[in-house]
Amino acid sequence: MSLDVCFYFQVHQPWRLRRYRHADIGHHHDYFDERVNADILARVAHKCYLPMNALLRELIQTHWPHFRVSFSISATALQQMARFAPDVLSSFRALLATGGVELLSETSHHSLAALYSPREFAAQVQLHRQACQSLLGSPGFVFRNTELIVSNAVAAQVAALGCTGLCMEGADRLFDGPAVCTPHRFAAAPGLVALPRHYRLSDDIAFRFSDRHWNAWPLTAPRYAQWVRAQAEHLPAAAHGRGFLGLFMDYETFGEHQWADTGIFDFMCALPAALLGIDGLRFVTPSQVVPAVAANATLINVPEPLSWADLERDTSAWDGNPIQRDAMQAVFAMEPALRHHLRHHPGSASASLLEDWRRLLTSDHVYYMSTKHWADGDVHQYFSPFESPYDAYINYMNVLEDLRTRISGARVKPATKPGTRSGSTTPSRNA
Amino acid sequence: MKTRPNHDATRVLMLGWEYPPRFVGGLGKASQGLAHGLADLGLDVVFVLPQFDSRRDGRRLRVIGAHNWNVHHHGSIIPRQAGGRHLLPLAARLSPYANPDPTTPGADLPVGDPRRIYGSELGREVRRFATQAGAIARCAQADVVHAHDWMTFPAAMAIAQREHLPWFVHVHSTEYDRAGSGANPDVAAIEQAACQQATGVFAVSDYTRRIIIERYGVPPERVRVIYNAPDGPIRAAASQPIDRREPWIVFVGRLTFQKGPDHFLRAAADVARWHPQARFILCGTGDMRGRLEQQSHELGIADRVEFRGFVAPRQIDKLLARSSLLVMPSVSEPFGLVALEALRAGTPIIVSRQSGVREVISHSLQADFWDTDKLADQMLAVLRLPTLACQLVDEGRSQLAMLSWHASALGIIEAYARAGIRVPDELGHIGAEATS
Repeated sequence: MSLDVCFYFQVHQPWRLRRYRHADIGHHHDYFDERVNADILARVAHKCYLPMNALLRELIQTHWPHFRVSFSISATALQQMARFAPDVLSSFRALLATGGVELLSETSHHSLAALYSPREFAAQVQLHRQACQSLLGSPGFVFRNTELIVSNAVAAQVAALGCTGLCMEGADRLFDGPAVCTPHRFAAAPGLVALPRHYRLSDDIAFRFSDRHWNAWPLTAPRYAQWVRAQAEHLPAAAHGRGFLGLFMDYETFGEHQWADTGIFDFMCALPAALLGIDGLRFVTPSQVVPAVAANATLINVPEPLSWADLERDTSAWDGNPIQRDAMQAVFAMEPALRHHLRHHPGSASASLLEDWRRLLTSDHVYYMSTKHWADGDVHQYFSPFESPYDAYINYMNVLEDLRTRISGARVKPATKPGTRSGSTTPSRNA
Repeated sequence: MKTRPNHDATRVLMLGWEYPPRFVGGLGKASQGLAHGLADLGLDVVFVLPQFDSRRDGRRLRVIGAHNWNVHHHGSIIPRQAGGRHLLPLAARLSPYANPDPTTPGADLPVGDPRRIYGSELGREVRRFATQAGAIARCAQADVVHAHDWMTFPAAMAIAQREHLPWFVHVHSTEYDRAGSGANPDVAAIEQAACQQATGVFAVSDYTRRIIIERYGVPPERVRVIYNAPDGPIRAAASQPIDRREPWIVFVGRLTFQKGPDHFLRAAADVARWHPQARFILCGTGDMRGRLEQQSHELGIADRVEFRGFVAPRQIDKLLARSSLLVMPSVSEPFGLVALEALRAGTPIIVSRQSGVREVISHSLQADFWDTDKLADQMLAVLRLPTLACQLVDEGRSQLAMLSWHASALGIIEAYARAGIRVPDELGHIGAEATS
């Protein structure tokens, strides 16, 4: 029995919006909060990216060539690193230079385009490839969609773009028990390999690591290695003796979600050696796995979108309530008018219009509008720069309104000035 | 008429200042809701007010106006002959929530001297109530005294000491809510003494609970939050669909510093710039009325603002059901029952972050009372985005449905039981949990 262990870390930062008032509509087109974005990036760089990159580089070199990892880095994160923290980019370059790191493909703007606009989806995948190439290096042809959102329709789009593998959530409703430890293929696109995330072992690190009420706390590398060994010993028949263990998690787990004083860095430092002590275990990157997957691997059918978010593991974190659906519907509904505008107004102003629109497609904006468990104040709010999901929605819709005026060229004036009684129709309804 | 129809029932002597239909704010409604909640759970409630046309309000709830009841000493409470009543109308200046007039007798006495507040007309009323309620208490055979807001605290304290009864104070608002930094030190002293000495304290929100803990130095474990609830059932469907409502933005409350009507107008002026149809309707009376009318002129929105003065509750419900939004920009709002009334009428709400109701209706728009920019943006958004308005109403009403006077009364009974007061047998498990 042997086991291929695949670490994939997600690196992403959204362009967070500033407080954008109704009165700004038609007058101010700076939507993003430079300072907040710079501050957050600086903080995460200090707590996570820089120390963890250094640790991984050391581990890859120490165990060379046996330890390797993969990353998916959104273009919005790359943009912010280039803008606010070039040392982080250098640090990623140094990590890639070890030869033990693979970059995955994704959408440039960490968007939900795969669900709403195949055309924009294809454009963003291409854009992401270009951003990686110019700043870090070429990504491979294994794809990771935003928040691991996968369905038959998404798989078909990904396959059509020439990708060979697709990371996905190893949800119980699709993967029966040990089946999560072997790659599958998509019924909707049999040429595409499905690489399932082992959510339990992934979340042991990403979520439970610092939980003092967890019966496995404090988690040690040898103990974790025992759990991994158990997976290797109970592989499904379909694995034909070679299992796959997908450990996919946010990179910010290390130092940001789990602070350094939880011991997360010490744990990761000890983990490669502990795992490499298991017979038949090797670390792999997705592109190593895909060619070896049998053409007649088990097919999976994903009629409804699946994601790695929340307990539901569906898309309800982004489209679970009416305001979220309204916001997504509204922003994607602008695409035809925007493309029409771009055709007739080539130039840098249009390019920045397009880039602003794309930054608004980033899934985080609509995630902040989630009201799931809003009464309990949950994880959604932990990440939100807004006081409430409703404020997030109002702010976002104000920005969209301004974007609409830029596309249509409409002029915005107050209906009445204070102290006067002249009136006209509201600007928002005109646009 | 026997004093005590059921000797097994726990008898609560409630002291209050307002009771429907005689009320000026949420205190009367909340007092009634809580009294009903307790009575419905099998407790025997005798609710005593300074003035009221005494009546039964359900099988186990008797409401007594202290002025028109004659007390005999053989264990029964008998109403005076009709001819013997002398009902004194409650003058507006006796409103306990108006700022005290500094020229009242006793204003020169040192702070904390009871003659200061008792020398005023309101003070005399508070003192007279203490005497009369005390006389009723002597034959009421109560198991516990439960007093609603500071005007009744001196009475409760006196009764509890003389009758050796456990007593609870129920804080619907504090002097710091009503007057901010201009708090009347005498009223604050009454509140503080009562909160510190009472067997237990009920606060209408965690917001108020924190004020009681921080301002009055009451140990946190002695202050329990008992949320208010909507009156009556919530209809399944909102009366008027959001997209067919008038672009009216409504303020309901006394026109006083505490309720923030000036902030409402400032935000309104911003909204008026962008929304030519929006109208702003203020329901309520108060000492700021003249200033607010002046302000609306200065802001250039006088033709968009209506001051409706006192509006009867049924008319408020009708108005809310036609309006697009209720805004409650209070500077300090212990609870904010009007927000629940708006949701009952299917109207979205904006409530200040300095309010208690936001703790139970998280599906509301919220802003700091001073952040009129944000208030204006939220108002405009509700007018402009029907999806937002609908979601706020649907989700808000789901949360509304989880509030009930029954649940609030259970919380009170649990506190009674913890204090060693026997509670009805069918609620014995509450007592058992409390003592285990």
